[in-house]
Amino acid sequence: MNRRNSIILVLIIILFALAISEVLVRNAPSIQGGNPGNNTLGMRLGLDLSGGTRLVYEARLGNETPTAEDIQSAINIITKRVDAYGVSEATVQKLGSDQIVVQLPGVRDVEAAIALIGTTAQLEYKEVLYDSSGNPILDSNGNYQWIPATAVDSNGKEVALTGQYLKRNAKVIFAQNTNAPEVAFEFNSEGATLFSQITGRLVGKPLGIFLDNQLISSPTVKQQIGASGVIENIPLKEANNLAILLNAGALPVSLNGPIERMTVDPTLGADSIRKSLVAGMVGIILVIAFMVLYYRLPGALASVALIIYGILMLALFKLIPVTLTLPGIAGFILSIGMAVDANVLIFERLKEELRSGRNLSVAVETGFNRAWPAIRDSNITTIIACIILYWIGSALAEPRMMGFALTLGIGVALSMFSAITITRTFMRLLVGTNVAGNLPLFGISKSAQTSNAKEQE
Amino acid sequence: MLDFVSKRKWFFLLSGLIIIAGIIVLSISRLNLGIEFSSGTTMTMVFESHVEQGDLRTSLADLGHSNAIIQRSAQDAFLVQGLALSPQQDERDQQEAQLADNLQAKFNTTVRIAEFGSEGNTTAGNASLGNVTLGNETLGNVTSGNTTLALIFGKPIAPSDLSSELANLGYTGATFNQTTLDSYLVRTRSVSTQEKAQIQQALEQKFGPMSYLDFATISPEVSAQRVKYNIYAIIAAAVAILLYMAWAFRKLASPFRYGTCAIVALLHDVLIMLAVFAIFRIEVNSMFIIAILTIIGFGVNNVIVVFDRLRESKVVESRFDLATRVNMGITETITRSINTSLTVLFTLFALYAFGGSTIHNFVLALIVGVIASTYSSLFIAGQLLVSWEQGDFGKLFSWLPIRRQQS
Repeated sequence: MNRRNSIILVLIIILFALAISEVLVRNAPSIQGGNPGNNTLGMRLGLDLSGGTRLVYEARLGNETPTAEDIQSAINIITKRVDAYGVSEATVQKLGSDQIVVQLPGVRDVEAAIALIGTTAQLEYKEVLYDSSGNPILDSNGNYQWIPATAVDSNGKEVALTGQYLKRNAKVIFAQNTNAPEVAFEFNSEGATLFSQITGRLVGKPLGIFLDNQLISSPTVKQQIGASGVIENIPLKEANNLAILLNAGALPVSLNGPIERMTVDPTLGADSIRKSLVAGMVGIILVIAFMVLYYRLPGALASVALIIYGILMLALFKLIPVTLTLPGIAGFILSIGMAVDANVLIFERLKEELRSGRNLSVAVETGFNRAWPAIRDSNITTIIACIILYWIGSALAEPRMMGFALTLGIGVALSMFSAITITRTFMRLLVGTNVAGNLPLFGISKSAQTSNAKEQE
Repeated sequence: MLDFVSKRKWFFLLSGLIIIAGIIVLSISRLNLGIEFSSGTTMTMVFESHVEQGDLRTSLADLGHSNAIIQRSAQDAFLVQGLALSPQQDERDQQEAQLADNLQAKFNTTVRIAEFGSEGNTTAGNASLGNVTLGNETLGNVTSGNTTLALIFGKPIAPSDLSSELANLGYTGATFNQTTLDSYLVRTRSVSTQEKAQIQQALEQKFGPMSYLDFATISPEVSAQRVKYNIYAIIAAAVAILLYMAWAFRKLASPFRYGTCAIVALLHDVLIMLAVFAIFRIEVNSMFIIAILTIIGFGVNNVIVVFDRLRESKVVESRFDLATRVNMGITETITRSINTSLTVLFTLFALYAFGGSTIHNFVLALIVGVIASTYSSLFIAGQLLVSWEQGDFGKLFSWLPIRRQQS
């Protein structure tokens, strides 16, 4: 046994052990909405496996095109909203130039999420318009006419009081006597100056609180107040959501949509994982059976390499980490089939060399060297296809494409390592042992060998 | 040595016929594009009471969806009443999610829950905060007493098993009966969130309680963008492969021929995949594009393995002409090509049989592609090189009244 090969063998064993511990022991951050059983081996799961909803919105700013900063700030605000809503591992990304894609794993009440994300949440304080004799002016429907409540700010300018002056600490409280939910808000110092001027002016009169031009509360001002106030008469759930919206701030753009909406039921995702595991197992067993039956001893060694390859892949998925999607799993299972290709190429060359009468040591080296250009070029072209797939996948914020490209690409790259390093080391270790001369173990009958050897001469 | 080259016109003819059949089908009925590429909405509706397909069609037409495609199916389900559920929609959703997860863990299958009969749980946009409705119902408007849940399992479940499992989970006092629900898959133009609620309201007035099991929508802008990017991707992949192969075969005469013949072989594979999907009217979606790009990567593998032998034998056995060398190359690699394709097909068949219906069409596309690309690497790519060198294509058009320049 050659010293160098033994060292490589030990390294492979250590690597394999590390990979197994990575896959089985270390727990990646949990992703799941609801069912921890879905979270197979602590892998990061895409929406199609964890279940959840994907929403795409179009950002609009009147007639203007929103700037990149507008979009980024909208993304930050939406992120705060969905975080506060309690969605773990939600992603909010820019898509194209003016679209925003929101992915919500595990969320089932999609309508509520849509309402929360799509609301502009512009909070405004308004007062009623009065005629010269002090009576409120009513419109044709008999409603008050509301105008923005303004006051003089520290720069001496007259400005309207809006949600931008709020501290981001609005919260739901319960009224002492009625126990009804209320949203308590607090202004920053500039807002407090404005608010006290306005409430001072409006004692005994209604103050309108508007969210996106809808009146949500119109309390009558009892006395001049400074920094804080409450919005009353709100059902608990709306109160919770209003607090989330006020704290995240108003969107700098209006959101049109969702222009794309897809939902995967979480139990469907879990079912897919279960089925893919079965399919993967059956696939590996079929491939191993074929390899052993057709290529005999080298096939068995390649199968061992294949199992090492599978575990290394899973460990890489967790380390990188790769978001596992259904096409991603399919890509992984497909890469098992393709990983065998490098071995098949090598073994076919090996057989050719053995048939022409070379001894195992020479045949192994020549077989590997001759197979290498084809393995290299074919794998590089596959990797090129994967890079392009990943590129469109990210341009479309489409995790299914990215997941597939990533798993297949990593798989092809790793399969070169598995075929060249692992299988070759195994084969080299055979050289010099007493199986080396036993050609039937390599799938070659004795007679074929001698006749071919004669032909060569 | 087997002769793959001299009969090449028959191989070209066979592939040509399949592709022409596909093109004819494509020109008559076009591809069955999924909403990802054609835009629109797909939704699955289940009704508590029996609904005739014709009545649903009429109602949808009245709502402005006269072009809707409607497919009926029957769902085996359990209608459960008397569960202790929260009157608030969001809490109830969580309870239902919990129930679905528990039942799934127990029965190892998909569990879909549809909610029927809660007055008012469907009227979005009219809650106390105007359009600031943050859920889709007004507080206190829903009572749990008249909520019926439909449990739809992915496989048959015995009523006694369900009964004991519900008791295990602590749902006492629940009654259920096994039934068959009318389920309709509707595909139509893009439906907004507001319109979705309006459709439900209108249908419930006519047919009684209804629930959406699935709802997916894509606007025309989004789908157009997808189509554009996918076409870019396929062109980019083809160009990148052409350039890489020209580089990899740079030591041979006219290296661009190798890349070009590989691209033609890949085009052949993709056309066969399209033809099969067109002939059998299988839906083409993003997953199909993933399959195409995979087959481009896989197919070029196969072609390179054959061409690699030409690269090698060019040096070793240059006394042979190209036709002979192509024949030798294919003969030497046919075992490898078939074995590799077989191992890939084994995994694909396993995926097809056990991987679940979600990826059936995707795996089917890959199976067709693997077979096509194995065929084209053995019978098309190398033969094209020979035809190119021997000027077959010029001869093919020699009957045209164009005077070819004598060289």
